[in-house]
Amino acid sequence: MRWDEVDELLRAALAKEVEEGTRGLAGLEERVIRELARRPARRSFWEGLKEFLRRPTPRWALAGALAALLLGFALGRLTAPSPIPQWSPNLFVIAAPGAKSVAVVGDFSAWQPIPLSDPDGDGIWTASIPLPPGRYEYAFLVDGKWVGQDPLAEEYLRTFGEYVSVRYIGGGRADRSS
Amino acid sequence: MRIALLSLLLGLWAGAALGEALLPLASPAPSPSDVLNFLLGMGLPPEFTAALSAALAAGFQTGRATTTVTLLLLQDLTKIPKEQGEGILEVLRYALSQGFIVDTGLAGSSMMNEVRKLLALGRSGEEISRVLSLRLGFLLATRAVLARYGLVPGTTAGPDAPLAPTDRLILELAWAVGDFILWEGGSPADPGILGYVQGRLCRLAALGLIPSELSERATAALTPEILAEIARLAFQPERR
Repeated sequence: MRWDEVDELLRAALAKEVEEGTRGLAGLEERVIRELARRPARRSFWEGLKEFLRRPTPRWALAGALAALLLGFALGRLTAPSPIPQWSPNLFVIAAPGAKSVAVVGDFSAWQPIPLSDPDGDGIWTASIPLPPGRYEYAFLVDGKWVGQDPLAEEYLRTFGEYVSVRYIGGGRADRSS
Repeated sequence: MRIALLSLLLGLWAGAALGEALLPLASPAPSPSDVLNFLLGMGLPPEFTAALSAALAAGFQTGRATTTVTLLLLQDLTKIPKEQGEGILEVLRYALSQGFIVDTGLAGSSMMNEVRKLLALGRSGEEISRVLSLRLGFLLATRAVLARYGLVPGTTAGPDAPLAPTDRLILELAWAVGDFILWEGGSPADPGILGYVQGRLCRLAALGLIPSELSERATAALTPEILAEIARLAFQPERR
């Protein structure tokens, strides 16, 4: 093929392309104006968030993030250094079938009630309280009524006619750790 | 997918940070100024408030009182007639001024915990004041008698002096004699008082609350007569 023939072919191809491109540009201005008019006004943050949450992928991501948050929280609690010395827990237990609330009060709480729990509903209420070595006076409050004689106590005192139990925590036979 | 992975990592990190930040169980103890500010707001006579503030501040400093129990006690006393609360606080102030331990925190015998126990039992401010005055009497009598036998220093240390091991001995011995007389129905002449008090001191020494050497020296020196003397003196302040 000769060079002038190649030139001719190239010119023809370019002319065809320009013609096709010009056809695509026809009405472009109207189309742009139409598209801009079709778009809604700017949404608020909450509307945007709602739409974001409606999408299937973010919903899964959110559930995963929540699960990860809980897992991280558990890990964090496990690894956090405790500011409280690791005293051995002491079991406080009382049989109180039918009771609505049971608590223990004593020197270890400055006589503020610490609630006992009975998760299986068998009437045996318990609380495990870590305590440093010491001699502790205490009593139970069963539905607000003073119950001062704990069978697990080592001594009892009578204060104004009411019993108070006593435990020695931290050594010898007195240590009743759970 | 990238968003999900990023959310997972972010959640894990945030959860761990939150978990570490939360302190288990204990709430921090109030500061001395928290307690003294609360006392200021109780509306007690200004001179009395000033004297009590000074005694408590020294007590917090030396370990004769703790901020946690003191604040709880002050909060309790706002629920009873003001003059009764003031009577109770006056006994505590005097005890502190004499260098006695009035609060061992949340472990063991103390005047402050005794007040909280009696309030929990529904006793009136007048009854509590009487019991507290008797407890103070046992403390004064115990120190006077033990000093006479050379078991503790005879001089009054005062509220600013550092705590000495004998301070805890005086507290626990006075408490045991007081329990025997006030709550066990014993009399000063009852020979059973010796075993009761010796048993208590041995148990406390085994727990490390009183130095063993001090407890052994005291239990060896104690006799029913010495304890009877303490019990009698507690009820006769003029003879101390």
